[in-house]
Amino acid sequence: MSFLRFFWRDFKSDKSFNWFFILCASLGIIGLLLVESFKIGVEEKIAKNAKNFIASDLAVSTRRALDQNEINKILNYLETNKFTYAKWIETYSLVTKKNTDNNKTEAFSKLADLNFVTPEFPFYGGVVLQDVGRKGPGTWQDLHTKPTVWMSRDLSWELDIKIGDELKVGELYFVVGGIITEDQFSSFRGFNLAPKIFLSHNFLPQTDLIKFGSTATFSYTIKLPENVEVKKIQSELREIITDKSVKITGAEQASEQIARSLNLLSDYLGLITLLTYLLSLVGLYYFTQYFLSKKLKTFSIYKAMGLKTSALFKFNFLHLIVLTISSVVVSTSLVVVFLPMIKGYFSQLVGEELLFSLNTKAIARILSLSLGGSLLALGPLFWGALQTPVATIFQDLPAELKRIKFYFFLPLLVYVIFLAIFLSNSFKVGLLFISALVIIVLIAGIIFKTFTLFLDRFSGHFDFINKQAARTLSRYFTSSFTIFICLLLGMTLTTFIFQLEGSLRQEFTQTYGDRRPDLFLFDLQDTQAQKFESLVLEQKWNRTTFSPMIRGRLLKINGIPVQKREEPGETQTTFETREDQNSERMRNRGVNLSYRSTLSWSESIVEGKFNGEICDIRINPCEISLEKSYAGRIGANIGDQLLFDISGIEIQGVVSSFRSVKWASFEPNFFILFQPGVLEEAPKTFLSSIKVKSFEEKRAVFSKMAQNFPSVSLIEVSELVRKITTVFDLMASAIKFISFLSLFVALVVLVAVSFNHLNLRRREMGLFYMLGLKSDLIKSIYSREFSILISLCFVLALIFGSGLTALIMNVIFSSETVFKFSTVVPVIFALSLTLYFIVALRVKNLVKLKNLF
Amino acid sequence: MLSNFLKTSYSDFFKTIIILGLLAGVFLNESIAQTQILFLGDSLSEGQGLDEELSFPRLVERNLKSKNFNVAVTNGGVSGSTSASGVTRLKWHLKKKIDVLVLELGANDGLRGLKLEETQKNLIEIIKHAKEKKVKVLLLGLLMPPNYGKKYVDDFEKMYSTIAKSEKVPFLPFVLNDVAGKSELNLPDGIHPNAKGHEIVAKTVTNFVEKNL
Repeated sequence: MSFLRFFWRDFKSDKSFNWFFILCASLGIIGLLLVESFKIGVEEKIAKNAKNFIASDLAVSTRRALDQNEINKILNYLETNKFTYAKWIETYSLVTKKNTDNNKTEAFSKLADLNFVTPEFPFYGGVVLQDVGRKGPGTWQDLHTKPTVWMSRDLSWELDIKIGDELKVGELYFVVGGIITEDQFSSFRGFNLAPKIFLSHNFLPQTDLIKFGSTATFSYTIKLPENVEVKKIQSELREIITDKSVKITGAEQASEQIARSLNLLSDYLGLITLLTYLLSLVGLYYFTQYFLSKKLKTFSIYKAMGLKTSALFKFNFLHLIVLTISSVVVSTSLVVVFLPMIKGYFSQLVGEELLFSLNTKAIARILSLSLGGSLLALGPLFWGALQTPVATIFQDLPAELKRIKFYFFLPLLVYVIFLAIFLSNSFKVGLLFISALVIIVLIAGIIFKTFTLFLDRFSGHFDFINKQAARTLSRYFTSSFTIFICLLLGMTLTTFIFQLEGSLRQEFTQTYGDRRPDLFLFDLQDTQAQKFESLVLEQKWNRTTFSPMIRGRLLKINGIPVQKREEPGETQTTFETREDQNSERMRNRGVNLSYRSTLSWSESIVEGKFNGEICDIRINPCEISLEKSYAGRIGANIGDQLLFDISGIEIQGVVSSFRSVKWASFEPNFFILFQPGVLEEAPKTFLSSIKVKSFEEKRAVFSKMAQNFPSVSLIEVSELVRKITTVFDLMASAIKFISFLSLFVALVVLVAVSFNHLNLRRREMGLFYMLGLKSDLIKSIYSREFSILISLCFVLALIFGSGLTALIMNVIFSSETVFKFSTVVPVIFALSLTLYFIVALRVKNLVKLKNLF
Repeated sequence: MLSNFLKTSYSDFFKTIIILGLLAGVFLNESIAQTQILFLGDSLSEGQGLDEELSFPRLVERNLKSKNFNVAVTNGGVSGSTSASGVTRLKWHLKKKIDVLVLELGANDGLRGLKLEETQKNLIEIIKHAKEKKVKVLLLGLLMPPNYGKKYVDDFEKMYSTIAKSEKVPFLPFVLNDVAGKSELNLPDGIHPNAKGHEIVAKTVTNFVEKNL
């Protein structure tokens, strides 16, 4: 008989196992697919936003005017390839409201960020104009027919200008045609020095602003056809324009920058993916164990027929592969069919467009992950089953599955560690998570052993049902321990998912909601500080921060100079990319320092001790608190001596603590904090932030500050904060959805594990029946056994799950844990109760059978 | 005898002259070494994007020393600083002895489009304060890029010459002469000079300081 024919016959004979396997595996894989599709959806949304930021698929930009030769090369390339493009020139200039006052009072000028664009602009994204609505691609014609500007609302307030008024830009007067209330091009880009204005490139020559010596960013924004690979075009353009100061930026790079700011949540989703999968693997393990225990005699018969163990292993190996692939196909089909239906429902639920998206790469990734898991977790079980001796055929009693040595599962452990690292994008998160799970299993083992010893010793004092239940637990230790660990891990992971979800939601959306500032003020001088404070009091503004900022330069760490030297002539090679350039500047431009007697609400000490007392530099160097990641970047440790140059005077300090800073708080924070007593007299400016109660108050702050402190820069951050928090809200809602999905998977898997456990006890139930015990009593014994197990798991899962959450929140997210027992306890209790009732029903059915074998 | 006396006296006299000359030399040398120059400026003085050793104030110190001027330069450049911070910062530096103040401020006022009357007032205040403390002031002028609009650019340029005239201080009209607008001499931001640019700025400023020491 050919290999395939034999395999097919054997495969068909295991119909019920095949269906159960596919059902259980599909549940886990559906979880994976949904998590994966959500991750891709978010990435795609971010990528789409990134296209909005650069208004195109690709942008060629430079801070210098391109020479004619370079322009010809670029245009020639774009026209040869028939790519559509737009020109975008960004520059700063002073703009003046046209003076209609006959008294000839001096016109008021303000600095503006001018954006001259050609009619093709934008290819993606847009602006929202007050009383008009969104102006997306193809709707910017009004700007190009006559000299018109669309200006930011802040600027219109500062200049006291309205639609129809005239504005002088350079040497030309423009009519204000729109007030911008929302601008997609500026989101996530950081703060602009001045409010934005959009104008037509057609009128740029008449403004007479761009000539030799002008500072501007000259860009070509390019729209590529759908099937064109951005990276290929980037490299082709790079071959034409070799000067590295000309940036060729794809939306993907922009999206990477944004994605970094969301990487914590993305990593968390990766971890959930692993948990969902591990849960389904536990279920699969139990189904397979049950299946194999029933098939041992069949294996012995095959062997008696002359089949070698290795050949049998090949059949079963193929069996696993076919089942896993079938599960992936079934679950993918289900997800593809049902996803569009649930998409609308969940989008409605969270009030944001939830994007689920799958691609072949993701499906291939899930297939390989599932195959790897199935083979490594279930392979040893098959191998153990195939070792059953031929003589088993002649036994009256069912054959028992050979116990598998733990080292057979080492490849699985390595695989899971690898997955944890891969999915969480971090060695630290992955290893920490797996180590924590291993420690939980060890501690749980000790607790369970002690617990069963206690039951065994004192069972004599219990009534009959409790005594039998207690003795079954202690005397079938291995079997009880396995089910206990599975139940515990399932419930612990569920607790962890819900606790972490609560903490992360709090971290990103709720905690700061009422504290985040709306306005940032900087460059407030020492001499203006008092006057500003008086104005704040007089106007009753909610000033949330007022921090001194001192410029300094880090010279030495423990006597060793830290600055990187750049020799003359090396400039072009040193600054190769925008990122390199920024990092180089970070290193050389000096640092901003501050001093505080107490930490702000958005800071917390993670190592060492913060000293807010006044120091005397004549006795000891002052103590310094460093932001943890900054300390890592400069390689500083607690106790290190740092030497700073503060405006020509050298000041030494010793690092005494590391701080974590909640950057999502949007509060002004500093990498370096000195103890008070040394920097007070140093030249400094102040940073401040204000939280406003209403739109009118915001307008009043702008107006008052412009009148009283024209040199102080005021930036509105509320819109930026709102956009970022919307993304966080979206992610947090998604986390909640995925948590419920994991809960569902956990329930199904735990039921599967329990059923399997009960099936293995069928013989014992039969024996009880033979000994004359009534059905109700037998039911009670097994239900009690499960209720003891479930209760113990319930308590331990809450402790371990919450502990794991605290560990991950503290070590990985550097944040406090917000325990949500009011949510978690009912969820786990409901899970336990559901499990108990399902198990009780199953016991009832099994007892009804009354058979020994 | 007379001739012997004269010989001895002349010999002693010349010896005395030589000793006095050496002492004077040492004294003068000491005096020059004590010439403390403070560059009070912004990112241009700070050497943004470069090692501070390559910033033009450091290069000016090196150039002057190579011309046998015993000077010590303090680089008081702070990125992003405006003229409003000038007096406070000067007071901090005056905690130690300063002989010459090279004032390079106002560019950020201009780049941020601040009112030039305010900038002018601040710069004058700095100069007056320095003079009160017997510090010699040398003023470095700057220009605004043409994109800031003709009127603002012209007013900005005029502001420095007006201050130099009213306060009677030596004045270098444009510190970035031969550097501004040339991409090969500037960082990719198009505003700050690169290492080569700072060399040229240093040469211009060295000549200016040397003339006015």
